[in-house]
This record gives sequence, structure tokens and C-alpha cells, in this order.
Amino acid sequence: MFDLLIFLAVFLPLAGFVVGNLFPERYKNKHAPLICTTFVGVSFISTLLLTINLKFGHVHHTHLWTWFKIKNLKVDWGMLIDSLTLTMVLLVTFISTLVHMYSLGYMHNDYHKGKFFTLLSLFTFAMLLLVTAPNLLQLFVGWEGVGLASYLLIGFWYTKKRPPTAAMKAFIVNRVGDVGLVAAIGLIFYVFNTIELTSIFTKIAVSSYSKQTLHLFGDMPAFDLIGLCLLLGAMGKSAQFGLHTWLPDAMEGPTPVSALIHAATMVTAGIFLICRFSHLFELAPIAQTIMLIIGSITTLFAGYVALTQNDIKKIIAYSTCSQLGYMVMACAVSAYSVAIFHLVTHAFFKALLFLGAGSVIHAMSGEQDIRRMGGLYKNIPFTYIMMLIGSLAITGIPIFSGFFSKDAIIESLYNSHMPFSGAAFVIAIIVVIFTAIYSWRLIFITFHQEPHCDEQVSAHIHESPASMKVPLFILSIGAIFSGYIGKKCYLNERLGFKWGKTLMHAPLDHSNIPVFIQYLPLLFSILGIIIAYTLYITRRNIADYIMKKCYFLYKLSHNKFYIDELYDFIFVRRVKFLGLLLSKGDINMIDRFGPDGIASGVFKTSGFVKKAATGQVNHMILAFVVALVLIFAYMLCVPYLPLQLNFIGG
Amino acid sequence: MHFPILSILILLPIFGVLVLSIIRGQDEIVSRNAKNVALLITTINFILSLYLLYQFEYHYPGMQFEEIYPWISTFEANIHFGIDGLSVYFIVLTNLLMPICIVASWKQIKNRIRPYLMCFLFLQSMVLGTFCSLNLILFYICFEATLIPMFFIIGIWGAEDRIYASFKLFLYTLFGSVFMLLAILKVFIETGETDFLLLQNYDWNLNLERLLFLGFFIAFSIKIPMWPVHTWLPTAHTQAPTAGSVILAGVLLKLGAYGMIRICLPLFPNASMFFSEHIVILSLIAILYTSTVALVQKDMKKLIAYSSVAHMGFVTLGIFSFTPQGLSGAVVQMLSHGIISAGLFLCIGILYDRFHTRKIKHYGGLFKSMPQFSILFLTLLLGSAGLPGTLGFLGEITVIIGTFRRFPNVAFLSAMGMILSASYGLWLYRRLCLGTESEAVAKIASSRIEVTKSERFNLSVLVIISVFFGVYAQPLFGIINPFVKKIEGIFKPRFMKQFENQNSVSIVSEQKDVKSVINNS
Amino acid sequence: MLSTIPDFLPATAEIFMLFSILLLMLIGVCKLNKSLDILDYLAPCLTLCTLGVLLLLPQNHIYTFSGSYINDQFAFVSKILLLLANVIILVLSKSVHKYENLKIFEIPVLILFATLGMMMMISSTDIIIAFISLELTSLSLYILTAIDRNFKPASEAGIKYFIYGALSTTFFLFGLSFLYGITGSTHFDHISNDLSALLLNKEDTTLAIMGIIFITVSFMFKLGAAPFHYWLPDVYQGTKLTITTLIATTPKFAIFALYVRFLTQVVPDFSYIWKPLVLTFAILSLLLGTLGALQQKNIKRFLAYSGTMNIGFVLLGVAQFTTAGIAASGFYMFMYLLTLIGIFASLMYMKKKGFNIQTFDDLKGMSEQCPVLSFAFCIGIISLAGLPPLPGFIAKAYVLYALLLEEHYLVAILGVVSTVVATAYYLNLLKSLLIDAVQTVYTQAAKQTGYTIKLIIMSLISTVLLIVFTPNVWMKIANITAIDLLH
Repeated sequence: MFDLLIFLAVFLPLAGFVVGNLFPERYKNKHAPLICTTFVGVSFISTLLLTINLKFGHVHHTHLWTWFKIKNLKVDWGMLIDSLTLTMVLLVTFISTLVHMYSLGYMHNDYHKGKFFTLLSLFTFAMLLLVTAPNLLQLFVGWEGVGLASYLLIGFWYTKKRPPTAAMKAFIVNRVGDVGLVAAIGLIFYVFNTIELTSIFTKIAVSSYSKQTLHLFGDMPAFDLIGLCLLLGAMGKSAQFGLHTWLPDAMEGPTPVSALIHAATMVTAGIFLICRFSHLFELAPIAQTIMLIIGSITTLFAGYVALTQNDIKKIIAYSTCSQLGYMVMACAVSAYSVAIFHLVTHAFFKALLFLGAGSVIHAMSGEQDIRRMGGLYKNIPFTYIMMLIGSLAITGIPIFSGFFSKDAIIESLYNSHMPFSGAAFVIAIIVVIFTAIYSWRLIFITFHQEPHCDEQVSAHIHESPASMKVPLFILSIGAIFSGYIGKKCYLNERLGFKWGKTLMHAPLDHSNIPVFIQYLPLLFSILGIIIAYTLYITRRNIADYIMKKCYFLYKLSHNKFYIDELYDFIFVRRVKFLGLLLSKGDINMIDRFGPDGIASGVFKTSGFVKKAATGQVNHMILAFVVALVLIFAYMLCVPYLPLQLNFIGG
Repeated sequence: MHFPILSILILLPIFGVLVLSIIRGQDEIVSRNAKNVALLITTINFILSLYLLYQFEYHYPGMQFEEIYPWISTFEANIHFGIDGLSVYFIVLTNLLMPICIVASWKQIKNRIRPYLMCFLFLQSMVLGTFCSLNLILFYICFEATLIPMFFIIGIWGAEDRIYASFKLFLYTLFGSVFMLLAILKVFIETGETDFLLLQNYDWNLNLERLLFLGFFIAFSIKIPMWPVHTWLPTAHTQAPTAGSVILAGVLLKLGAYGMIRICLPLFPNASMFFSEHIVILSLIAILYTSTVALVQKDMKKLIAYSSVAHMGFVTLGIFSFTPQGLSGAVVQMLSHGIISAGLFLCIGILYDRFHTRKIKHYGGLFKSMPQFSILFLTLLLGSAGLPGTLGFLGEITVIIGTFRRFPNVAFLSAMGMILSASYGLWLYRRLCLGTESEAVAKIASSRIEVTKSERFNLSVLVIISVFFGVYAQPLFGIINPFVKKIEGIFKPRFMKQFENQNSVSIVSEQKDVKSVINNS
Repeated sequence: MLSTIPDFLPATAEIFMLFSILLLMLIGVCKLNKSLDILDYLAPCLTLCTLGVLLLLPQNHIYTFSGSYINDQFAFVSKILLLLANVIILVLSKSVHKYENLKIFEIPVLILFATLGMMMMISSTDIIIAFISLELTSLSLYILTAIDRNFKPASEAGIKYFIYGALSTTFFLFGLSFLYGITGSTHFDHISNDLSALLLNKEDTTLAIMGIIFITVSFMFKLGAAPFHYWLPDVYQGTKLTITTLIATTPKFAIFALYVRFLTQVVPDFSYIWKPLVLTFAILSLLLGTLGALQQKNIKRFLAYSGTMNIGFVLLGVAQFTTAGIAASGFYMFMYLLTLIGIFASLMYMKKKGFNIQTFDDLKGMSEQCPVLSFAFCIGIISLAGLPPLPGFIAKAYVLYALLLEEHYLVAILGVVSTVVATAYYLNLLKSLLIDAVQTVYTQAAKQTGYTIKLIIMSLISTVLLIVFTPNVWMKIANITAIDLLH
């Protein structure tokens, strides 16, 4: 029963992908979208049924078939269902269904509509494969599968110039992270002699393993090393600082894609991975510290950059980045449940924001620059409200979901006694303001300022069709209530929810947190909203004034700290140069002094030999005589020769 | 005496050569009949090899279908055929690729089709002979004899610079293998035997063993090819006709690695262990170096050629990690490379037939006019970039996992190769298929350039194989398993010894390696 | 067994050959009409008859002429080969000359004289007989070289050949006189006994050594081993193709046989002298032959140099002075003869505008003109290059095996490396035959030289292919003869 349900849940999207592609080109656009949407919807329903029937906290294992087996490296295809997985599966299928519905409206007059939907289903399948993986290799399959799907979807408009490049960039940067994951797999198999998640978790507890040291460019405690490798992988997928460059570019893809992949699901895979190995990270202090540092840098950096972006989707992308930073920080201070909690709420309101932005773009007939929008609240009130809810949620206003989860994170930061946790706490507080500012800047400029758009755009600004409104509405409900429910479930394990063994969960206590601290984030976010209001509605000149005053900071933020340029300079150019050098070296060094050199040398000498053969009789006889003389000279010298030359032994 | 299927597999192509040689008639009739005959013969061979696979006893560790006929008694060189889990792979692979090659060159080769097909059939029989032979002399003879048809295939039907390429291929490889000949003769003089099975666990004087190992190793490393003796491969690939590159990448490169697994490891275990560090370093260089070089190639065939050097680097890495995962991974990597890069060369051949250029800069936006091609091409590229769910991934990941046991650093660095392979693969795809159409592409009407039925068939067969075994690889690893066990049986006690007389100052990891290898097995 | 009246039994073949030659001359001199055709047909037939006689001879007693003439296993086998080869050459020359209407009845006769000389050479155990037979062969070859008067280079080649030959002969004679001087006997066995006695009694062996050196040098000259190989290219290039075939193949074989017999039965105790000597010459021939051939554009010169290189391989085997070595070199020589005659025959067949092919470039387009022949040519060349799977490889491997048995590792490595280089120029030949673009396909194909040549070529090539499958037989024969030679 469970097997069937989970099987349906995971494999229906794949079925959607396959069936959709079986249609010939001309029917594809007609049928594929509906089929994919229904299949994904059914998979969501079956997940719901599963959730209702299966008790949380109880682990269910489904074995499909053996992938391969080399001695004790045994890899099966299957599904591992526990609370964490179930949460993710629910989230993924739910959001994915909504995005499918949304896309029905958003993409309705696109030439490759069918292809788009099949790819969405493919992505959903890969994501489900990832979260339900019973072993690391299947997890890796999902991991790269989502990468592939996002590659295909970002590059969906392949005839344009930028999307294919952005897609390529996304895949390759992700590959950097994947190397970390591969290394982690290798090391884990090295240490534990298995890659089955369950047996790994059982073995982690055994001290003999945690005592080991590994040697990878210098000795290191085994768990720390594994943890760092995993962290590298997570950084790649979750766009942490250093490997974040692909996420903003990924906004070249269609907006639903950004909503599904780059806000709700794929980017959270990294967080999921860290939480999966929460027990291991608990025993890896170094890895945790580094994780904390990276998380805080990311959240600060992304929040700061988001302040000055003008592309509506870029703003949201960077905010995603900084929210992911929050989650990583939470993981670092071993508040994994909190991280998951924020993951869920964030999925709701960020998907809401993206889809809302999509509907704005749709209304503005493809315009993405917020400076060319304005005053839209009367044209598209529904979208406006949706965006408002989303922004309230992300800013962390009470009742709305973001409030609960973000507070939980900040409090757990405050609670923890790790190194740098104090600094992390401060950063988190600061970023709260940033968050408020950039979200509301978006709202104000887009909806409240006077219109900046030209006539023929403003002529047909129109509210989106129902197929787009419904998902927005549902998401908004999620964005409002998920916080309250989630707090009960994930933090306090009420409502029949249990983490069980799957996650390292410690219910956080408000006892030792002063009230002042508890309300600090709220205050700051309200402060941020006020600042945004003053800057972008009432006293707009101040914004320009500040911009002029600290022009450097503005430039820095506006150009994303020049990190892309830096990478291009450090890596891309260098590698290209190296490649050219080496390919020259192949010809000029290896060949010249290798085969070709030898060949030409032989050829030259043969030239001499050929010259020596003059048809002259006397030369011949000369050679004849000379040879004889040499022989006799040798013979006569034999008794006086040193031994090694004297091979006649006379 | 059972049904001598191996000799039939080997002799059928020779018979085909004879049949081809007696075809008479006008040219076009001759060429048509020749093609049909060749296709028929190779297909029958393929079916036979499937039958072989069906008859094959999976869990039996020893040799199967053995046949012995006396031949050169002076060298004890009997014609001794026999296969085990290792060989059966490559026999099937060869027989699979041959019909594909012939179909691929159906329209492409205009002049002198008959000798062309004769070359291919002869090549096939020699390759099969190499994979089946259990006698050093016989192995050497077949191993060498593959060169002659390849020389003609590249030299006669190749591209503009074909003479240089064919000579380089021939002489380079010959130069390597003459040392193998000397080594073989020396082995015979020492032991009075040239039969693999009888030669195993003969204990050599260590220095002699190392010398002999090197003698074999030179030959095989040039054939694989390993860095720095790889330079013949790009030229050969770029100049060869499509089918030629397919067979070169698909089968001939495997001969070297096959020889290493089949000869170097079982016959000279101590020497292999002695040299393993250096070889592993060379493989690592091969992976990173050639991938980097591939990044900047302007000629797409060269790009693929360099990438195949990198893939073979993974193979050697796996072989000389001596772990079961590494070994099986290496074999599967060979198989996957045989299928995937063969497919890639087919793709490039398809493009070349249409646009008559190999320069990447002339292409662009192919997806618009030939979507099916682009999808197949992308699948193959991702396969070669090691995307999970394709065969290419299995090879790489198992090799890396296996290597982590003995050389963690090398394994980690070799994983970097994944980034590079993804980079050049996707870059190639982006330049060829995505973006706006280049004028060279736009010139030709989009209706005429989509892949034909036969081409689509060829590619899809390869793609399907790579994906199917990518998600259900148990058969592959199952077949190879007994052989791997055998090899491990050879190496385990030696590691034990090494572990015992390891002095105390040795670094932690080595002890752990040995320990883990031991308790793993 | 010495007796006042020798029984001629072991020498019957030679005697038969002699009488047949006289018969032919008789026919030729008194010009019966159609005499020429009769001669052309008679010569091969009589040679075959000689072969038959040889085969009929009883093997039980082998010495005659007071032990100065021997017909042992070695002689027997070599003679069979020799006669077969010469039959082929006779047939070739007949069928070629018929179309070049070169109607000189001396040609078959001289060839037969040469054959007689070679037969005597092979089975001589007395320095006088050895010398006479050598001279008989050489003289008839000199004449044959220059026999075509209206072909300028021929006479030049003849003169050169004569001068060089004379020179080497003098050395040979000089060396023999040394040996005779010390031992006072002309008989191989006596000489060897006396020489070994010399060594036993620790007496001065300088004269003997000098004699050996002189003889070796002259033999090296006749075999065309480096550094005495410079005459080969000129002579080959000058002479007609048929005569080149003769010069290049059978005399070398006979001389090789005589030399081996001399080394093994006259001066075996001085092997410490001649082993390194021969080895040196062998290595030199490998190097110089390979390097010389590398840039040749003229096929005959090319074949001359490659001949030097192959002789080098043969000598490598000889220099081991072991059963394996001798057998290997014998087998190698046999393979060399076979393939070389095949190649020459196909060269005779391939004509361009009625003329024989001179340079590599003339080969272009031959593969379209006569595909079967060029296929055969390829087989020959590949076998000559010693590439597997053709028997040339087996021969080469056999020689290398003999080398490694004596632990001459460096020499072996040198041998294989020179093989690689040699392969380069053989491939070069194949390239110009098969790969190079055809400028003009010549309409009038090489049909005028009839089917006999084609037949011969085919039979030779099929023999080559046969050897691939039955190497045992041939190697065993070589082995037996070697053992018989070394006792």
C-alpha cells in the first residue's frame, strides 16, 4: 500500500515526462501540458494519502531493484520514507503542482509549451528521487538530475543569446559542488564500507568510526572531512557564497521555473542534504564552524546586493540566496528542525513572490526592470495583494509565516555557544533590516510610485488569467498559515508530527532568551519597512543622496561585488590560457621531442647514408679497404685492449 | 568437443573477406552487394555473440568455450581461445559496433568500397582474436594485426592530412609493441610457456619481473593511450573516416587496457604494485591535462578525441587502484567509453556529411533544424560528462570510489575532471546546437538536414544501451565479478604482507588503505 | 669412405644438370629453327628433372670424391629450395623475355650454369671445389648482368659487378691460401682438425685468424652485408628485372649455405673470433640497410638496401652459432627468398606504358589497374616487413628468440627498433601503391605478360599464406638441418 503510493508519487512525474514526449511534435503542445499537470497532481494526492496513512516518525523502506553490486558496494533503487523525506515530498509535489497549473496560463502561447511541461515533470521526478533516496548514489542521481533539468529549463529559450550561457554556467558551477559530494561519497564508503543511508546513520554513533583520521592533502578527523565535502556539495546546490554566481543568472529561464526550481525546491536540496547528515555534522565541529561562517557571509552578502538590484527577478533571487544563508546558519548551530521549518515557509512565500513577479511581468508584457514599472496596484490589484502577502511573510511580520521561522532561527543563533555564533546573531539581525528594505523597495517601486512605463505597454496591462490566480491564492494561504502550523509540527512536534531518528532535533527553549531579544527582529523589520517607505515613497531624494554619498558601496552592491568578473578573470581565463598552452605543448614539446623529432632525426641520418652511396667504384673499394684495415687494427690491438672492449678475448 | 563458437566468431569475418573478394560485376552492383554481404556477415556475428552471451555461465570463474589447436610448437604457441567475464564484454561490444560502422559508412564512402569493407571485416576478426586468445604469441599477433587494416582505413579513406596520421598511428603503436614481443619471448625463455593460464603465479626474480612488466606496459600504454604518449590519437581521430574513428575509439583503444588487465596484473603482480603509484599519477595527469586541452579545441573531432584520452585515464586509474570497485569500474568505464564516444563520433560524422567542416565556429543553432539529432547528441555528451543514469557515470563513480581507498588525493583531483568534462561537453553543445543559427547552417534548408532513419537508428541504439545499463547495471558488474574476485585473490595476500612489514613511520592513510582493502575483501 | 674409383651417386644431380646444360648448348649452337622456344621450355623442365633425380637419391651414404663432396641433409634441403627457386626464375625470364623479344639463347643456359655452380657450392666440402663453384656462379652472373647489349646501364652494372666480384674473390682465395698454408690440406675436415690441434697446442693462430677474416669479408661482400653493400644498389638498378631477381635471391642463398657450412664445419673452434665479427657486420647491415632504404625512390635500389637489412637479420642468427640461431637464419632466408621472388614477379607483371616500373611514383594507380596483383604485392611487402600475422613475422620472432637465448638483449632491441624503421619504408611503398592519388589510369593494362606470371605469383603468395597456418613443418625442417649441420 505504502509502496504503491510512494511509487506513484515518485514515478508519475516521470510518466508525465515520458508520455508527454511520446506525442509527435504537432500534438505535443496540445496534450502534454494537461497530461503532465494531471500526473503531477495525482502524485501530490497520493503523497497526501501516504501522509495521512503513514505515521510520522516511523521509517518506511521501499526496495525497487538492485542497481549494481560490487562486493559490499551494494546500490539499490528504492525509496526511504521518514518525516524529513515526507515533508520534502509533500512540499515538492505541492509546489510543483501549483507551478504546473500556473504555467498553463503563463506559457499558453509559447512555441515549445509541451517540451516545457515535460521538462518540469522531469525536474519534479529528479527532485523526488533525490529526497527519497535510500543511498548516496541514488541521491546523487537526483542531485545531478535536478541539475540537468534546471540546465534544460534555464536554457529553455535556446535561440536567445543569454539563456544557454546561463544554463551552462548553472550546470558547471553546480558540478563544482558535485565534486564535493562525490568526494564525500568516496570517503563515506572508505570509512563506513557502505553507502546505504540507514546503515551509515547507525554506524555514525559508533565511536570507532568517529575517532578515525583521513588523509586528504593533510590529515583530518574523518567526520570533519566528510562534513566539509558534503558542505561543498550543499554550497553548490544552495547557492552559498562562492558558488552562488549561477543563481542570479538562472533567472534567464521562464518565471515558473524560477519559482519552482530556484526558490522552492532545488536550491533547498543542499539544506536537505545537511539535515540528512545532521548526526554526522553534530560530531564534526570544524565543519559546523565553517558552515556557520559561510552561511552568515552568504546571507549578509546576498541581502546587501539585493538592495540595489533593478531586475525584479534578480531581487527575489538574491533574497532567496540570503534566506538560504539563514537556513545554513540554522543548520550550523544544529537547529536542523528550524532550518527545515524555514525551508518550508520560505518555499511558500518565495514561490508566491516569484509567481507574483511572473504575473507582474506577464502584465507588463515581458518587462522585468522595476524602474519602468510603478503604480500597478490599481491595474492588477490581485497580484498586488499576493505580492504584499509574500513581502509581509518574508519580512517577518507576525501572523505571517516568515515571522515564526525567522524568529526561531535568530533565537537558536542566540542560544548556541559555538564560536562566531555571536557575530552570526548580529549579522542575522542586520540582514532582517536588509530583507525588509529590499522586499518593500520592490513593492513600493513596482506598485506605488507613479508609472514609468511607456504607452503601448501601459495600454494593455491586464490581470492574469484564473489559471495563474488560483495557484497564487493557494500559495498565499500557505504563506500566511504555514508558519503557525509549521511551528507546532516541526519545532514542538505536535499535531502528530514526529522527527524520530531522522533528524537531530532539540526543541528550543525560550526560557533563557530575554524578551527584548525575542522582539528585536520584529522591531528591526518594521524599522526596515519604515526606511523603505521613506526612501522610496516620501523622501525619494534621500535615496539618491545616499547613493551619491557612498557611491562606492552602491557600486559594490549594484555590481554584486564584481564576483563574476573576478571568477572570469581567475578561473575561466586561466583555464583557457592553460588549455591553449598545453595544446601547444602537445605539438611543440611532446611531439617535437617525441615521435616527430625522432622520425626527422632518423630521416636526416638516412640522408647521409644515401649520400655515402656514390656509384663510384673507387669509393667502394676505399670503404672495402678501410673496413679491412679497421678489422685488422682491432685484431692486432686485442691483447692490449681493456676488457670491456675486448669482446674477442684473445 | 562442443560447438566451436569462438573460432566461428573469428573466422566468419575472414570468410566475409573471401566472399567480398570474389564479387564480380559493374561497380555499383559490386558496391551494393559488397555492402549487403558485409552487413549480413557482421549482423550474423552480432547475433552469434548474443547467443554466446546467452550460453555464458555467469558465476563460473574460469575460462569458458575453450578451444586449443596446435600451432607454432617452437614457441609453445597454440591457438588457444577461451573467454571469461572480462572478454565477453568486448566481444559483444565489437560485434555491436561493427554493423553500426558499416551502416554509418553506407553512403559516406564513395570510392573503393570493397577493400574498405574487407579492411573492416579483417579488423573485426583480428580484434575478436585478441579478445579471445589465451596465448601470449597469439595475443601479440592479433594485437598487431589490427594495425594494418586501420592503417589503410585511415590512409586511404581519411581526410586531408591522412598520410601523416596513419603513419604516426602505425609506427607509434608498432614501436611500443615490439618491446612487448621481446618481453613475450623472454617470458617464454624463462618459463617455457606462453599460455596465460599456466603463467599465472609464476614467481619471478623481481628485477626481471619489473623489466618484463615495463615491456608489456609500454605497448599497452601507447595503445590506450596514456599521457604522454597520447599524441597519435587526436591526429588519427581527426583524419579517420567516421566509421574509422568509431571503431578506433570503440574497440581499438580497449585492446590496451584489456591487455593490462589480462596480462600485466595477473602475470606480474609485484611489478604492478611497484609501479602503481607512478601509473596512477600518469592517469591523473591524463585526465586533467587532456580535459583542459579539450576545452580549447577548435576542431570538434579533436575535442572528442582528447576527451576519450581523459576517459581512458579513468580506466587506468581504476585498474591500478587494485580495489574491486576500481577494477570493475575500469571495465565498465571502457565499455561506456566504447559506446558513448562511438556515438559522439557518429554524431560528428553526421554533421560532417551535411556541412563538410569540423570547425566548431561554423556551427550554431542546430536545434532549430535538427532537434532529434540535438537531443541524442546532448544525451551522449552528458553521458561522456558522467551524468548519473548513463553508463558513463557508473564507470567514473565506481573508479573514483575504488581509488579513494588507496589514493585519496588522486581520487579527489580526478573528480575535478568531472567539472572539466561537463564544461567542454556543454560548451560544445552550446556552440553547436543552441544560440542563433550560423550562416553555414542557415544556408541548407532545414527540411533536408534532419537525421535519416539509419543514422537515427544507430544513435538511438547506443543511447538506449547507455541509458538502460545506466539505471540497471547489475548484469555488467555481475559478469565481471568472478574475474575481479580472481584478481583480488592475487593481490590481497600481497597487501597483507605490505601491511605487515610496514614500518611505524608510515603515514596514517596508507595503513588505513591496506586495512580497509583487507577488511573490505 | 675413400676409394680409387669414386661412386658418383651423391653427385648425380649435378652431373645430370651438367649434361642437360651441354645438351641445351648443343641445341642452341646449331640453330634449329624454333630452337629458342625449345630451349625456353627445356630449361625449366630439365631443372625439374634434376630436382627429381635429387629426390630419388638414396640418403644412406653421402660422401664422394674422396670425401670432398657431400650431400647431407643440409645440402639436400637447400638444393631442393634452390632448384625450385631457379625453376620459377627460369619460367619468369622465359615469359618476360618472350614479350621483350630478347631472343638470346644463352640466358637459360647461363642461368643453368649458375644453378650448377650453386649446387656444387652447397655440397662442397673442399676449398678447391668451393672456390670453383663460387667462380662458376659468379662468372655466369657477370655475363647475365651485361647480356642485354642495347641497354646501357646493364653494361655499366656488369662491369661494376665484375670488378667488385673479382676483388672479393681475390680476398677469398687469399684467405683460403692462408688456411692451406697452415694446415697443408684442402679438405674441410682435415683443416678443422688441424686448426683445433693448433688451438689445443697453444700455437700461434694469427695466420688462421687472418685467413678467417679474409674469407669472412669476401663472403660478407657476396652476401651484400654492410659495409660491403654498396655494389648492390648499382647492380640491381642496372640489370634487367629477371636477372635482378636471380642475383638477388638464389646466389645469396647458396653462398649463405656455403658460408654457414664453412663456419660450422671448418672453423667451429674459432667461433670466438668470427662470432663477434659476424655480429658486428650484422648490426652494421641492420643500421645501414635500414637507413639507406629509408629515402630511396627507386624500387630496385630500395629492394637492394632492404636486402642488406634482411641479410643483417640472417647474420644475427648465424652469429649465435646455436641450433636455434642457424635454424632461425635458415628459416628467415627461406621466407626472404619466397617473398622476394613474389615481389619481383609482381613487379615484372605491373607494367606502365609497356615499361617496367622504376620508381615509387610509377606504382601509383596500379591498385586500380590490377587489384589482385597489388593485393599480392601487399602481402609480399607486409611479410617482408615482418608484420604479424604473416610468416615474415614468425621468422623475425625466431631470430629474436635465438638472440634472447644467448642474452644479447641490446642487439635484440636494436633489431626490433630497426624493424620499426624498416616498417616505415615498407609502408611508404604500400602508400604509393594504394593511398596516393592516381594521376592517370593507364588504359592498356599489363595484360601482355601472360598468365604464367600471374600463376606463379599466386602460388608464391598462397605458399606464404599456407606457412601462416603450418609454421611447424617448415620450422622443423630448418631445425633438423641445423642440427645435422652442427652434429
